Amino acid sequence: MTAFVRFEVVRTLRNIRYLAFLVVMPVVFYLLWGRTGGPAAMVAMSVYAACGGALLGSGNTIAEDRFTGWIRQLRVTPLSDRAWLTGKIVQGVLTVIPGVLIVSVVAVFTGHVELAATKWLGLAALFLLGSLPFALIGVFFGMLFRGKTATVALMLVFFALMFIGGVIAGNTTIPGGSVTPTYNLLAAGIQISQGQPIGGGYLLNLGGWTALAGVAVLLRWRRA
Amino acid sequence: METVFERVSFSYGRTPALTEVSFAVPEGQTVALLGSNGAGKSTTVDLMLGLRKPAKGKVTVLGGRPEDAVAKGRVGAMLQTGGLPADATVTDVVDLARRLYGKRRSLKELLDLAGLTEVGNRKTDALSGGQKQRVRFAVAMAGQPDLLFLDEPTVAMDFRARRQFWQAVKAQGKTVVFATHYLDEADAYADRVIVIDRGRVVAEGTPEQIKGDANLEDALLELTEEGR
Repeated sequence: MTAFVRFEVVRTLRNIRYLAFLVVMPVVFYLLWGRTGGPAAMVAMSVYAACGGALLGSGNTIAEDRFTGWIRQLRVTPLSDRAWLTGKIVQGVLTVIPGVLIVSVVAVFTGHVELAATKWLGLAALFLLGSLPFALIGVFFGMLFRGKTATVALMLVFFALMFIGGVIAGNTTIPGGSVTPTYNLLAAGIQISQGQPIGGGYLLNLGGWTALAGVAVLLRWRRA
Repeated sequence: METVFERVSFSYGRTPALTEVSFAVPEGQTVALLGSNGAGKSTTVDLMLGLRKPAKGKVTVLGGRPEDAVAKGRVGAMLQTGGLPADATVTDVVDLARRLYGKRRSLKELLDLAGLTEVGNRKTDALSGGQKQRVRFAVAMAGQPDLLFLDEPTVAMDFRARRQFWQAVKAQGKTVVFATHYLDEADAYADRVIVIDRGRVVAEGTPEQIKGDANLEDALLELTEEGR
């Protein structure tokens, strides 16, 4: 399975559209509007990179591989279906790293963000674990739609989560925004960057989304 | 270690695809499943690979269940509909296959075997149809399989590429099952030919026997014309 995960990650990094959209965009946004925003702006753009990377990182290729028939070819190799599914989820989480890392580096050098090592570690842990619900939603959509339809659907979900969750629009004014996983990931990240204890509600919300998306994936998987 | 179909039936919804199909693939032989498009060849291959389950009857692959043979990496397959992943190079794909089968061959050996050494760094979407087929072949050969399934393997290849391809397959000396709608391909490379028509086995024998069977004349003529 390690070989499979590595293959999928390398493949994602070779995808120019992925890099432009999920790594360059949040960096550009940060440079344009975030440099005076302190750690909060950095965290917001990290949420952008993490949410996008996890949603589109694996979901996209699942839909595409089902469309081209590569999945059928994989199914006649010793890679078990279970290892495949686990691999795609792990891939979704790992593809978050480049975007979040580059946004953070840019914030340190251009936005004069200075955080203690423990806070950086806390943020790293939060973004890796907090990407799980998005990776699962991505996998679910990849199994639900075929080919380009999945890309369009995932883009819609992505922008909806960004706006409703108040990541792009700043302080959320949209009713129900606080239910979204993006809002909770952002809020938890800001708490960590300010050295305050994370409210249990934020983590509970992210855990809930993880469970919900996980069940959806399993139900869909059994049917496929 | 036999591969056997015993009175196997399968249907897509209400449309029957295979009806009471029985045949055996002796070890070490190359067997052709010959039939026109839609005759049931691909369904047969799917059943042998455990991608589908028979509605009736029993499929045995290398003496056991198809999915077990696949899980142990004893089977290699080139699927007609098995596309290649985008955003990956030839080397990425071949190396992945090699690792999934537990590194039974070196990367160089596999690329050589399939004639891919020169295009190793090329992305899969920049390959010609024939080159894509060779990548599929490398994937199928990655685990040194005891049994090789080829579903319409030479469709995108020209005459020379086809000959090279079959030389590489034959050099392995393994049991091979291939589905084709080209009579001349079955004739040239198969030890035994199983003719499938509308989901039933209508004839089985050596290429000579099949060609000499007067009852099959119409069916075979159709195939020859469709062929080239």
